[in-house]
Amino acid sequence: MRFLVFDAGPLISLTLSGLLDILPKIHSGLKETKFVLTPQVKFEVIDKSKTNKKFSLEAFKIEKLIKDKVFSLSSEFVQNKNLSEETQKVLSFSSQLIKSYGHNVQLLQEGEASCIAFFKLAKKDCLIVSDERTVRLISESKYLLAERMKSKLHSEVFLNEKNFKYFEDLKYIRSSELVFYALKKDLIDIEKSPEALEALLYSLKFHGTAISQKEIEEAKELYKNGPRGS
Amino acid sequence: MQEKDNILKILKETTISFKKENAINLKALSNRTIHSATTSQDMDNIIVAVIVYSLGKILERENYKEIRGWEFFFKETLKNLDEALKSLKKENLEKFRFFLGKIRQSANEIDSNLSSYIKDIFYKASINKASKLYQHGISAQKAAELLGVSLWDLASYIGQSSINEADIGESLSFSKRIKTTEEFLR
Repeated sequence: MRFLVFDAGPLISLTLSGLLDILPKIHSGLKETKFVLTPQVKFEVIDKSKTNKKFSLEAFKIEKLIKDKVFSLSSEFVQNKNLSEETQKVLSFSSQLIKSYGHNVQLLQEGEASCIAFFKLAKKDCLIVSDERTVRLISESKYLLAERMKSKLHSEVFLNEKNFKYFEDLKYIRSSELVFYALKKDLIDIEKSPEALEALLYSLKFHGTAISQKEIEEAKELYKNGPRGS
Repeated sequence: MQEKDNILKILKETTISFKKENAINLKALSNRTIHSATTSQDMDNIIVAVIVYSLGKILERENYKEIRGWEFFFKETLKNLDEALKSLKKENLEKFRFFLGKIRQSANEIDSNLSSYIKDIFYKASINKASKLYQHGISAQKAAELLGVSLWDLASYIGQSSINEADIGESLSFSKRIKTTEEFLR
C-alpha cells in the first residue's frame, strides 16, 4: 500500500482553482494508493472552515471526498495517539532548527507537522503533498532556507544540523505536479496544450501554491517536449 | 513579553506619528516590528505590528476626517495608546494588553461606515502581517495561526502578491518532482 498524505495548502489551492475534482479521478485509477488526511489537516480545512461563512462551501466540498472514500482518515492506518505523539516530536524538532536574535524560530504548525509524522509512522511508500516552500526547504535544502531567513531578518541565523537529519528522508510533491499529471492523463476537461497548463498552474499560484514563473515555464517545456534526453 | 524596550519605543513613536497623522511613518514603524515578531513569535509584538500597520492604513483613506465617528476613534486611540504605554512602563502586562485591545474594539462603538472600514483594515492588516511572517520563512499555516486569520484568505493573499516569486531558488526542479509523481502514481 502507498500513501499520498495531503497538507492543507494543496486542498485550498485546488478547491479555489475549481480543480478539486481531479482528486477522485486520479484516485480511481490507482489500486494500491490511499489519499490520506490527518485529523489536524481535516480540522484546518473542514471543521474550522465550516465555521467561516466565507469558506464553508469549500469545506463541504472537501468533506464530500471523505464521504466518497477518495480520502481516508489517517486513523485507518496509524492510531491517533501515535500520530499525535509523533506530531509533537516533529514540532519539537522543527522549533529547534533555526536560531536567530537568540530565539529558536518556530517554523511549522500542527497541520504540516502531522503530515510529516504520518510519513514517519507509515514506514511504507509515502509522499507528502504540500504547497509550502518552507516545509519543503527544511527537508530538501536547509541552506536555501537559512539564506532566505538571513536575508529577510538581516541577521545571522544558526542551523542545528543534528535536528535537520530527522527531516532528510521526506519526499514532497505539490498541487502543481498533480495538475500536470491530471492534464497529461486527460483528467481535466480543458484542451490539452501547454497554454492550458500554464493557465492551470497560474491559477494554483494565485491561490497560494509556491511555484515560480520560471518553474511554470519549465513545466510548459516539459509538457511540450517531454523530459530532456527522452 | 519579549523585547519590551523595543515595543515601548515603537509605541511612543506610534503615538507621535498618529497624532501628526503621518501614515508613511506608521507603516515604516510597523515594518520594524516584524523581525522580532518572526523570531520571538511573541503575541505582544505581533499585536503591536498589526495595530501600527492598521493605523497607518486608516490614515491613508481620503477624507477620513470627514467621516462621522472619526473624532471619537482618533481620541480613543490616542488615549488607549497612552494608557498602554503607561501600563507597559509599569510592567503591568494585563492592562497593557487590555488597552491595546480597546483600540480595535473602539471601532465597534462607532455608528457609521467608518466602523466596518476600520474592522476590515484590522483584518487585512493581520493578513498582511501573516504574509510578512511567511516571507520571513515561517510556514503559512503557522503564520495564519499566530495572526488569527483564515488560511484560505492568507493563501489567496500570498498567491496574489509577489511573495511566491521568491528571491531564492527552488530546492528541486519541476521535472524532478514530476518524475517522482509519475513514478509514484504509476
